Amino acid sequence: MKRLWIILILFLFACNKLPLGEEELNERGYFEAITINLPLYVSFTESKAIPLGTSQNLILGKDNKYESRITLKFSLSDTSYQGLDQIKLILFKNNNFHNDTLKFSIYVLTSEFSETEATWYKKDNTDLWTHPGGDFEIDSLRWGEIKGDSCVVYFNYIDLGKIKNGKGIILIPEDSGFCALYARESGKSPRFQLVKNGVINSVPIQADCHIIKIDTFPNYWENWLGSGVSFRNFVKFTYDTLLNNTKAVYGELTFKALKHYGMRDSIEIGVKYLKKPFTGFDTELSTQIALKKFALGDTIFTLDVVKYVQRIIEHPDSNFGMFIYLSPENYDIANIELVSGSHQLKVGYIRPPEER
Amino acid sequence: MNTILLSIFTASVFSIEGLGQEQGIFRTPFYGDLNIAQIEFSLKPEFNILNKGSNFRGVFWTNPFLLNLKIPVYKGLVFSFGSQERFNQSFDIYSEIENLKMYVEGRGGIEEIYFQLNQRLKIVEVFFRGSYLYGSAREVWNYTIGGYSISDTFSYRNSGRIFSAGLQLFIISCYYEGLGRLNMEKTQNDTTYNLPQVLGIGIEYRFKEWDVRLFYEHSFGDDTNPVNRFKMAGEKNNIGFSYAYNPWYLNGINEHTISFSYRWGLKNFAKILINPDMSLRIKGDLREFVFMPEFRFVLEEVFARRKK
Repeated sequence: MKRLWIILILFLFACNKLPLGEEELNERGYFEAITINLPLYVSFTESKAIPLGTSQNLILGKDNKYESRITLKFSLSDTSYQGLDQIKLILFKNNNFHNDTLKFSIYVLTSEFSETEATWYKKDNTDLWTHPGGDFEIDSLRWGEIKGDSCVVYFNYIDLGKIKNGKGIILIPEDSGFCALYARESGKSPRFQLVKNGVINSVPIQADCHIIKIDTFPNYWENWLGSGVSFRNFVKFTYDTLLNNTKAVYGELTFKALKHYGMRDSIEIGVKYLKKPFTGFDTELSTQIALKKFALGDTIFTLDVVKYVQRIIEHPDSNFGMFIYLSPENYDIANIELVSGSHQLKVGYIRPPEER
Repeated sequence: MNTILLSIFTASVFSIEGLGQEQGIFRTPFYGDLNIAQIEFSLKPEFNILNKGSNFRGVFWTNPFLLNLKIPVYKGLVFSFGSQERFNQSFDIYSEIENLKMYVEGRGGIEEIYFQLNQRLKIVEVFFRGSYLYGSAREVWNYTIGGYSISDTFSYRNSGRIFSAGLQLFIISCYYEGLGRLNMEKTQNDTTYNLPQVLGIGIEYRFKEWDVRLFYEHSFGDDTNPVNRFKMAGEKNNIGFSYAYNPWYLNGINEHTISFSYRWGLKNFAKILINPDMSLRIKGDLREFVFMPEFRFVLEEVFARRKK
């Protein structure tokens, strides 16, 4: 009998989610889910060789499309080093990438570079390299081969003197293939070590970055996403006045991929909307409104851009479009060519309730 | 765990409309004995079962402790003050309309702090009460379509006042409540409401060993439907019962309440009152069964210094 009472009480006071009394909601409005597709107004690609000094990785390698070099600078003091047993550079491989075994050469840079501003063409914010891809001495110091988890390159006193008197060093790939090394931003930075009587002295790293060139940039009218060399896909949809005074529940942005290129199995795609009318790659953008991880081989991508839809409902004159991009753009080398005209924006909305 | 918490703070589904559930009906402002000081604590939990057809949904919520204080300040003059919830705006509703799922929850309401004077003038007892209304409420509307969800929040901040006055002569009493205005600050704008006015008549008569009471209230106003409600109660020794019919000021809601009471006296020191109320609220096919076991603890005399 006691059990029966317990069951009865649980039944009556069960915390269920039955839609009882839902018609009372009608006192505050009329609710139904409505879906519309906003017509595509325009889509194209903006490209830029972005600085990669803040990347967590240093990419080294080349193929018939890309080439990436690494520039490093260590804080070697002016004191003369004597009695050293070993002088070595240690590079750590990031095994989250599909890395190839790769031979490379090391050269001494003859021009200073700015870690946060250097690209394939520019050594800092204003000045170009004399030779795109870095200004360095004709003869290489050493060469190395990356395989296993790390790579060690040994130097002699003459090399050390050249490095000390130079503007840094540059690693240039000799083979086809790519390899990702940890940058100092990742916490496992390249190390320059001086060993004397069994005591290891690590020379602090002053700057590290990689610089990338691409053989040809995509055409303006094509639709690409790219990291390493940044390709941002601009897309804009026509606003529908049916959305006036509504509440968007979702904005499902869908597009299709034609082909892909990358060093990992997965990628992350992000979306930001333009806060001002489009003026180019550097148009002022919102914070990230969507971010989703996909397999690199996916052919259909879907992201929820409801924040963008809510913004254009609230401010229909602010429909400046969105940039779709690979996130982070400086993390690795990857690109995806999208099917032109495949962009769709499906909006699910309701009429919002009235206040009391 | 969330589900349990949600259910603990949920009240009438009908509170979604208007100003919410009116909590200040059939309040008896006359004390009869104006020589006793007392302090009263009360708690009114509510067990609530929503029913439509063969479906049931149970919820439970409770008010915080309420305090009422009555102080004789002079011979035949009593000052009292206290608090109560005037309009409850808490509710929660689940909804599924085709592929739109909604969950709406409201919290809070309009509280009342009152200050009251009762004066006996020979055979007449008169009272005057002024109340300050305050409180805030918050509603969260969650919408889900397919796998996508967003939510909206509405906030309300209330402030206002209302007055009442009345007199009791022998067995008959009458009272009026009016001049009530409430300003509700909303997310998008502010609205000022004229609160419903109430005209009430009561008869209290001792028939043999029974104390019999009848009350009738007519409520009317610019923003609300006019309604007529009544209550009849009987009490013998420590046991009493009552029935009340209360059509809400909102469209189509009728409420029937049966109440029992038991009073347990602790000599001349205090009394404990237990009032289990059972109500049925009906709107169309929707029914709300409510069980409210009210507990009141009344301390008498212990803190007052009497003037003979």
